[in-house]
Amino acid sequence: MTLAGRRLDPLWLAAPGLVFLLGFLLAPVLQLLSVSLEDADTGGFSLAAYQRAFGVPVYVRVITNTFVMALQTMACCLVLGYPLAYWLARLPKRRQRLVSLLVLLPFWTSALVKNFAWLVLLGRNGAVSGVLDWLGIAEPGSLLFNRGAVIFAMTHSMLPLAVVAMLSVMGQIDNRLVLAAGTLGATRVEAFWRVFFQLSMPGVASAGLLVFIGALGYFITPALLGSPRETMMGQVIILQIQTMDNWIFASALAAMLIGAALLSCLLFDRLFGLSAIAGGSGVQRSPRSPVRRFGLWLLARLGSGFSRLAEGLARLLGGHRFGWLLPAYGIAVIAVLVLPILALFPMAFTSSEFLSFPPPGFSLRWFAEYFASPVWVAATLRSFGIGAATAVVTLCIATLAGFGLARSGSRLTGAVFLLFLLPMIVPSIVVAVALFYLFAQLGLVATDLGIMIGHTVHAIPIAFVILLATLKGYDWRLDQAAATLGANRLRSFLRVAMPLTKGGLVAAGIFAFLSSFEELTVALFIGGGLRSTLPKQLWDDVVLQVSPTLVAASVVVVVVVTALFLLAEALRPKD
Amino acid sequence: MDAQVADMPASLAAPSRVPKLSVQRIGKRYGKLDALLPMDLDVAPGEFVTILGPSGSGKTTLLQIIAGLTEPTCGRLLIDGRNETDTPPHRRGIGVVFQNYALFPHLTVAENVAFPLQMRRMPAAELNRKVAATLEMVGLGGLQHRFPRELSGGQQQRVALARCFVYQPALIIMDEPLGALDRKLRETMQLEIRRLHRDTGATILFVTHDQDEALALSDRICLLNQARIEQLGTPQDIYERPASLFVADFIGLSNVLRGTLEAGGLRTADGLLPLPPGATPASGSLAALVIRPEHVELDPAEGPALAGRVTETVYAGSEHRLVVTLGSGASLILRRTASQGSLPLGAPVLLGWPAERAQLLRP
Repeated sequence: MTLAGRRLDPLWLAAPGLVFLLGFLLAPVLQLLSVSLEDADTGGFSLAAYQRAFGVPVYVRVITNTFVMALQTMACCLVLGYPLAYWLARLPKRRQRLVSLLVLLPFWTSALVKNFAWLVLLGRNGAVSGVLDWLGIAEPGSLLFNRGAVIFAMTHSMLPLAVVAMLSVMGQIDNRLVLAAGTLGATRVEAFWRVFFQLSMPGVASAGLLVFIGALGYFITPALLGSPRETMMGQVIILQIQTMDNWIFASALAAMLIGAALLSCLLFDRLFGLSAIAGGSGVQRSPRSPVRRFGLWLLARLGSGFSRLAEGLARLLGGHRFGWLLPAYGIAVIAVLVLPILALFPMAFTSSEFLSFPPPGFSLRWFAEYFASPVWVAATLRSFGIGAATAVVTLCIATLAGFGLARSGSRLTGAVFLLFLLPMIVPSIVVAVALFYLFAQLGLVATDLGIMIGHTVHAIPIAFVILLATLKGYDWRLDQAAATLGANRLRSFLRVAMPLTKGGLVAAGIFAFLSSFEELTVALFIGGGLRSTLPKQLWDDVVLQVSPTLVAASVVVVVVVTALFLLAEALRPKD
Repeated sequence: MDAQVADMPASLAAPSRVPKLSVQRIGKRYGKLDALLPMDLDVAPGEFVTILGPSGSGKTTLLQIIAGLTEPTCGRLLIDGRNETDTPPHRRGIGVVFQNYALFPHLTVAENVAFPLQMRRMPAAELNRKVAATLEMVGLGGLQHRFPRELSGGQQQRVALARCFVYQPALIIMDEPLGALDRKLRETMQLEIRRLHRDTGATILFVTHDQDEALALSDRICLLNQARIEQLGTPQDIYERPASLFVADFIGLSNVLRGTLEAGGLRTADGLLPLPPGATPASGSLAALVIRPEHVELDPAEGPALAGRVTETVYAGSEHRLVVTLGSGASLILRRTASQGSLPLGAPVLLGWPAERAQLLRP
């Protein structure tokens, strides 16, 4: 055996991350599952919690609601997001980057802030109500607290995620394939359906998966914009733990969420292969598999059908007259995505005691109130502190793991890769509840350390994905070149690898910070009543009363997020 | 008269029939950049024309305009005498073999090849028969259920050819189709493409930056440089009678001797060199003589004799190449067959060439 053969595989560098995720994700989640099977009195095995969930009509309705609303949100995101992603994918590279920023900005603005903005805009005195009332379409006050409002706001929250997931796949589709289809006799419509659409399916599926799983655990939107009829499982879990202290029932609901998430992942894996989530090639279906043949047949029918329709219209109208539709649609959707964020600014500078749009006059009083309030200032500082600590810890774990995975030849890389993406697949409310249970035993509840650990679990996937892409794009032969030129490993890292990958490192750090800065669920449970982060403080106040101070606080969040997001985008390696 | 025949041999001269493809004053501008200056090109039915040129010379732009993938800024494009300038690609009926093939990754080999037939709504039975026959023709029988990524580069190239030839387009465009293959495979595929051309009688427009490929395959070569046609002619024309120093330099090895014209010859640093017969240059202007290495002779019986020393020898298997440095510092390359043998470094030599083998060109 050679010396090189005895050397440790670089995959060992992923060990700290693996230990961290085993300890703070897998173990607590498994513990939670076992709690759900306990008997409330004896502690023995019991299915009582599940019997209650499926036996009591009100819970049955909540569970049904949750799945139906998650599916509705997913469908809306895919249908609305696909044309937007398609438009973006076909823009020239420079313009695509610019326009993508307008999709990514709402992506990084916390769901809480966006939902809060809708609460104000759609409310009795809000701008949207005003316009619709003036047009005679809807009465003021009728826009909120119903199913439509919840689905709309959830779609609004998750649409950027869906677009980003689809765009990453569409961006990799070689445009020459569509051109080739054209030269082989396909009309543009046929070429789209038979080539582009088919090749974009893994992106559609991963967007659907991420939105569905995210929507399953949602509680912000139904709580803020819905009526009791829109109650989702996440809300019941919070209620059961925080008010009823019924861990067993809450665990059973959490277990169902995990079960549903895992089932959708399995389904996705069967159809596309999980590696497709991160832009991998996915599974290769056997050429004769019935699923594949049916898909091809269906797309061929769609292609020729739509093609005839388009050709017919073109003959009728004397040419293809709908080229403007897609850009117009894209711009309209982006405007709706960005609108609530922009609308916060004028409202925060209002001189009025109440929130109304447009504001009656200009004033800085609400910012003054925000900065004078010890509660808000403490929460803001805590958020910065925890965010910075989260960024550092996440970066250490994810960089080591990224190095390990980028350089390893081991067969285990696939499994390790999936484990690092696991926090993305487990609904965040489940993570928060599981950690709460664990930390209660360890005395970490209501500590900054506890929140930071939870946020790190949450931040690992995004940092890991960015770093892995950076490190995979790095030409490792440069290290060999540096070595032959006389640099030792440390110097070669500092002088060659570091400068070339620092953009990705910094971007990963910033995104880890951002994901902590906006995180509500973990902070809600683990912060207890004592350690409020900025989103937690916002949440507490929103639930109690909507005030202009809240808008001022939201503006602070948006400004911090925008600045850091733009910085990260500028530093992030271009692919 | 002679010159005319050499420029365009009778068999290939623009025939009285309608050209398959006629490019008329077609040009393309991107903003202030001329990707293609207005140019003319006629291609006869069944002809094999190569568009040759360095990267950035406008080859791909010309090709994309002909295929309908890019719109020209000016000019007309006729196919079989019909104006097709504004026809979308799928109605032109042109076959295109793309650089890197553009095989559909989600379709198998057979499905890729069947695609153009499906677009033409061919009945299934006939379609299957044609696909099988075409795959057999390019030597891919038995691989029809593989996906492109499971094939080698050469096999992918064959799929691309099959996908193009299966619907028997009368005009086929190939954009550097062999660029990604190694040398050995390139030569095999060149023979393959020639055979397909002969068997199908298709008109082929072939783009490459490889001069050997262009010389080996083409009926005519259209040499592009800096967005315009530098020379259009048979491979022999282009090699033996380059129209400019650029052509002489781009195709094959050339010896270039620069000087000033005067009565009786070209005045260079190495003396007065005789002009090729028939040249009637204006005295006093700058010019250059171009001589191919295979025409340079050692110890010439007649003509000019330049003294120099062997400064470099290159062994190239079938031949030796000698680099001889003249008194002025200019160097000439000459070829010697393996049986003639090489010369030792530093050996003094006398060089000459038959005057009619030299070309007089403007610098």
